[in-house]
Amino acid sequence: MEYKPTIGLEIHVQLATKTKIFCGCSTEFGAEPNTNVCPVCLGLPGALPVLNEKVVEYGTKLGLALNMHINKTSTFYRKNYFYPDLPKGYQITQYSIPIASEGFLEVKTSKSKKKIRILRGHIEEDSGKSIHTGDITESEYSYIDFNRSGVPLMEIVTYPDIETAEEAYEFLVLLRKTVRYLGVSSGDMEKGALRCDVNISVSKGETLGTKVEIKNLNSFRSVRRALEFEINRQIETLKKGGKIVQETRHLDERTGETKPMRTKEELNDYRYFPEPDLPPLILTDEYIEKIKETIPELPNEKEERFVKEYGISEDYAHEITASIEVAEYFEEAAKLTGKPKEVSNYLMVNIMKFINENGKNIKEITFGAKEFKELLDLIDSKTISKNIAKSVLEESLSSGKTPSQIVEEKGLKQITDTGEIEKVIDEVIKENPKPVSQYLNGKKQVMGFLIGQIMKKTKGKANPKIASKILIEKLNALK
Amino acid sequence: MDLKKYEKLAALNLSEEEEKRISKDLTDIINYFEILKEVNTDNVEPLVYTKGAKLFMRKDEKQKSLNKESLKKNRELFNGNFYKVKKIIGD
Repeated sequence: MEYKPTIGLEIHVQLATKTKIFCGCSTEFGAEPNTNVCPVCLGLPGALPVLNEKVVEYGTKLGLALNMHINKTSTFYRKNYFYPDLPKGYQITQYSIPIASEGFLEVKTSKSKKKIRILRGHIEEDSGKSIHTGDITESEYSYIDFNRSGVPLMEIVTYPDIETAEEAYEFLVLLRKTVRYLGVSSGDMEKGALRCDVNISVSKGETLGTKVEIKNLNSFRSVRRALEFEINRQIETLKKGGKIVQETRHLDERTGETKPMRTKEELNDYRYFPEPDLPPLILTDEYIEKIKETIPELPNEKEERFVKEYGISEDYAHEITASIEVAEYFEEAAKLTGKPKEVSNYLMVNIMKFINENGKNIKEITFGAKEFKELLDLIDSKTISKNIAKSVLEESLSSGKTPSQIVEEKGLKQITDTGEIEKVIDEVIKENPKPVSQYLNGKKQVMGFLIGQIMKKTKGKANPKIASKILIEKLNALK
Repeated sequence: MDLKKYEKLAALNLSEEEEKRISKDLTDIINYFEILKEVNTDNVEPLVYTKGAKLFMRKDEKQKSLNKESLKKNRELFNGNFYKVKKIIGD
């Protein structure tokens, strides 16, 4: 029997409000240290928390989008522990009744589709940030920036339904897409707007193995690497007759290995108790309904609809819907041109390449739905060939000129005038007696060479269909 | 009751004499709750908030944060741009 991994995720999603969860300080990332602080988020005596209604709105929205039940009454708790970046000595969080519970996301992997159940989602405040200058083991002091203290978070906890590193990765990707579609978080892992801890064990039978926690994974790649390494480590340890120690580990980014972290495990007693400064959060059915109405079409739904409605490939639909901006761009162009397949091709091959190479955002490019229609119309009317269309598109992307402008200025119009093409073909036949006689002797492959010569002379502007038709006629006449 | 554990959790360092006194206080408090246990609470919902106060929420609007000059007044705590504390990591 094979060892089977059991994986659960705990993800902190930073909610994109303008101000902190319990005070009016700005949540701006990268501000000068300790400039967005006040008595509330510094934990000064006597300061009282006042809940930001936007946090409740975003929390409800995210809960609903993750197919969760919204609890009409939820409560805040104090989670007590001492750490310099936690000025009050406790974190205000939710405990027994979170704002949202029991949901799921359906994740697609290369092998299958799978529902990953979500246990709970609760809103809470972030801590400050410790900064260590120089060698962490030598410095006598920690330096603290409280700008992050009180920034709103929603913690999402999954059931241990995940069985591979790929599933964990895809879950995170879909969660990020979802928060971005909703506009409730930037989802930027590198800026700490999405942070992930994983719990993992392996076992052969029904009884679960010893659980190991891996903390502070700060990129999608790290999550995948850490899990791949850890699954392997645990299986190898057990195969050799070893034992798994219950512990917290971290990923060494340089080596890709997970290593034990020194923690004060025995003090893991948070003495939760109800936050006396905040009465229960009560939401009405009307409120929840109202939020429900603001939820846009979600990534999975959009992906499926694009395949059904526009007949584009599943892979393209998946990639296009990765970003709501790209999805909207595609849909607008697909509707205006009536040619979704062509749009998806040019979009995924040429436009995305341009965007990635130039570090641009789809919203920044001037080539929009109107220009798409112009380009496809130029192909349709046989004004330009598909080959030329590609270079027109590239030129349009970099110069900002419209496709017809480029075709006009560069004289790229396809030659459909048979008289003109005939003249060129006569020249080619004259200049290439050897291939011509080879053709006449039955060597049909030289056609390609002769067409190539015609294209060279016309700089690719000859309509290939017309050119090859005339060429065959002329060659046959020589027989 | 393991007083040492709670000392650690509360980041306190009590003298032997203090430990004795507090141990007695805490034991008295816990015993008092034993009296409360005698009350029959079957079919009574747990009560957390007594006043029935309504949660007041604020709009997501920025308010003025503290001026750095006022933070700097506490020179022992505030150093340069940061709060400075004894390192805690690694015990």
